[in-house]
Amino acid sequence: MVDQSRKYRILIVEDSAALRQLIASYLRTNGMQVDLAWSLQGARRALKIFKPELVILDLGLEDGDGYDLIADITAAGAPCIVISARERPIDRILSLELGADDYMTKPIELRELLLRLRRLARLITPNGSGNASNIVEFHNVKLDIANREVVRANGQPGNRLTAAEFRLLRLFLETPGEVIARATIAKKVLNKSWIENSRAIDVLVSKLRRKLETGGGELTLRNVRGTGYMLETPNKASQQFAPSE
Amino acid sequence: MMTLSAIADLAVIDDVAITEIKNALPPEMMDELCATFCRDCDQALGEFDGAVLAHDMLLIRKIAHRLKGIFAQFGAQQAAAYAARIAEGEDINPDFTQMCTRAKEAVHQALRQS
Repeated sequence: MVDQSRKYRILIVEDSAALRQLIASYLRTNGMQVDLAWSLQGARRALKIFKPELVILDLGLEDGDGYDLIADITAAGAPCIVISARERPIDRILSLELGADDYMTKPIELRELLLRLRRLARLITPNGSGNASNIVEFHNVKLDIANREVVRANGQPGNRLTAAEFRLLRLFLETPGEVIARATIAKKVLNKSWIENSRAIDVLVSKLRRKLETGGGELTLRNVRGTGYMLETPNKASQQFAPSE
Repeated sequence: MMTLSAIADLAVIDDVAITEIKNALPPEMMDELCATFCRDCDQALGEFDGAVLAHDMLLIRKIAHRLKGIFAQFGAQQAAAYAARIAEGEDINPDFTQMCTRAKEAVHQALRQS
């Protein structure tokens, strides 16, 4: 559950001073702790200094494209919402493929932004909270829930999952052996009631599959042609899995 | 992309957007927000005029895109729609800068009205 009383630390990366101020003021009024950046360079510094828990990212920045920052944000382990005046489907798809967790087209509804941030905040755990109780194992794949990481076979930390990949993995683990329709993935993972190009889902599954492979486990994500995807386990005896929030 | 005639039919300001901003923020923040909005617009419009003089189409489209985002968020829907056309590479309306200035003033006035 989202801790409504907690002050989540949010970084707003936006080149328009008016939009920065509007969004920052609104989020501060609603109890968030907000830091600001307006360029790629400044945002990279801010990621290191402020260690934000959530990032709001504009794509058109004065010294480059916000796309170039998504990998840095993902590497920092912060969920990311892209806000942009770019309305083409390819911009939404590309943002999600690169690891963004959500996309909103300007003009944005401030209340909607807050709700989406709170939804993403469900994936956040306090910094440095990883411990043994947060490691769960499923068919030889160990997952560090707190840090959203697939733990390698030798016990070393492995690939960190993006928030979208983590949501997808949860969905698979909650219903192992069952086919999950693309529409369900679009709705529950990408937060979309529809999606124009299912390639975004294929790419997301592909990335998750690669990261699971680094764990050396026995889980397979199988494409069920024309329907969706399913998590195959070595035997059909499904092991229920319910990671704590 | 909207046609010019469809854009001409739009109201200069979308009252719903203005109301949302007013409801979202405490009144004491409105003066500062208005000032920042005006500075933002003036800066972008100044850069836009410079890009036009330099015939720098790439920069023109980039700044138009920025203006589209700012105006759309602050309810200046007509100016945002014109800016969107320029950002997509359409011809520049000779009155564009003046239209944006009028839209800026209309937003400023609407935000400050209690």
